[in-house]
Amino acid sequence: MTDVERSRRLPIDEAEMEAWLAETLDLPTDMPRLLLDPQTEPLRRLLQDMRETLVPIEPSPNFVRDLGHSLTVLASQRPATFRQRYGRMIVFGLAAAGSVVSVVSVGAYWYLRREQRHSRTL
Amino acid sequence: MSEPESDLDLVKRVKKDPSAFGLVYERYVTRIYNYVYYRVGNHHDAEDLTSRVFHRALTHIKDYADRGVPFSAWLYRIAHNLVANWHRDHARRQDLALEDVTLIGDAFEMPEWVAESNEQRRWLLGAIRRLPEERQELLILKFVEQLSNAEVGQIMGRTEGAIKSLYHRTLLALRDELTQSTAASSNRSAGVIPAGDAVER
Repeated sequence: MTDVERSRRLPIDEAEMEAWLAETLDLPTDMPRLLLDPQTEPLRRLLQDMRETLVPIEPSPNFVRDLGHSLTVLASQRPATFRQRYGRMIVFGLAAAGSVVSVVSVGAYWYLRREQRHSRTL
Repeated sequence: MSEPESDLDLVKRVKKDPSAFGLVYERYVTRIYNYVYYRVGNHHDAEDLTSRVFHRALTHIKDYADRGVPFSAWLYRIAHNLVANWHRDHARRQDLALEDVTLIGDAFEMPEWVAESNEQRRWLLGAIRRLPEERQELLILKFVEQLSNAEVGQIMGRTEGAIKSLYHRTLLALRDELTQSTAASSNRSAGVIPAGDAVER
């Protein structure tokens, strides 16, 4: 891309720059070709340098191809089903709940038996 | 010729059929790579982070909803967050790490002009990298990505007016540094040693 093409593509157009310079330097906005004013020369030069320095670059074609391939593979994988995603969690959860119920049941049985024996002796 | 599919339509399509993500990738890979590259300063990390941006985008694209923030801004936010994490991990900032970017000259240019021009660009890149992160980001989005103030505002989560103001302040700061640097170098070439310049920066 040539400098001229690059400058054309930039949304930072000179009209906008002129308007801003007029505002910043407190000059009348209708002053023609403000950018040619020596007072604004360092800014104009800075903008030009930035346009020439901060230029778009192309990533390596190998990188683009390889990443594209890995994304395609990832995208084509079917999403995990509910059972695949949560199956193990559900099994462990049910087992834990079952254990708690068993312990509570044994405790309750033991307590009731003791209460029954106690009432018979009275 | 038919109009290119809008980002929003494309995202809707990807949500139904993830294999269409390739189109999103093709549309944005160079832009995201550029953004990341200029933020981290070397190709190796730029490739690694760009890869992570797209993997994350693919995983979370189902969560994207258009609430006034364009898809491109959403993608840049992912890149921004990953770059911020990268900078946190590499707390010691690289000095002038932009290894070989743009330091080139046309084959038809005079060698001495190319050397001088490269020196100027190297200085400018150094000055940009000394700016606070948000200002660096702004300059990259404006100059490399060539976005408007409104688009930059959407990505950086600020109003268009705030971006304009930040942009102007950034340019003025750089201009002042440029003026000081030019004055210092002309003093040096004239043999004048300014006070306080004994310690090399």
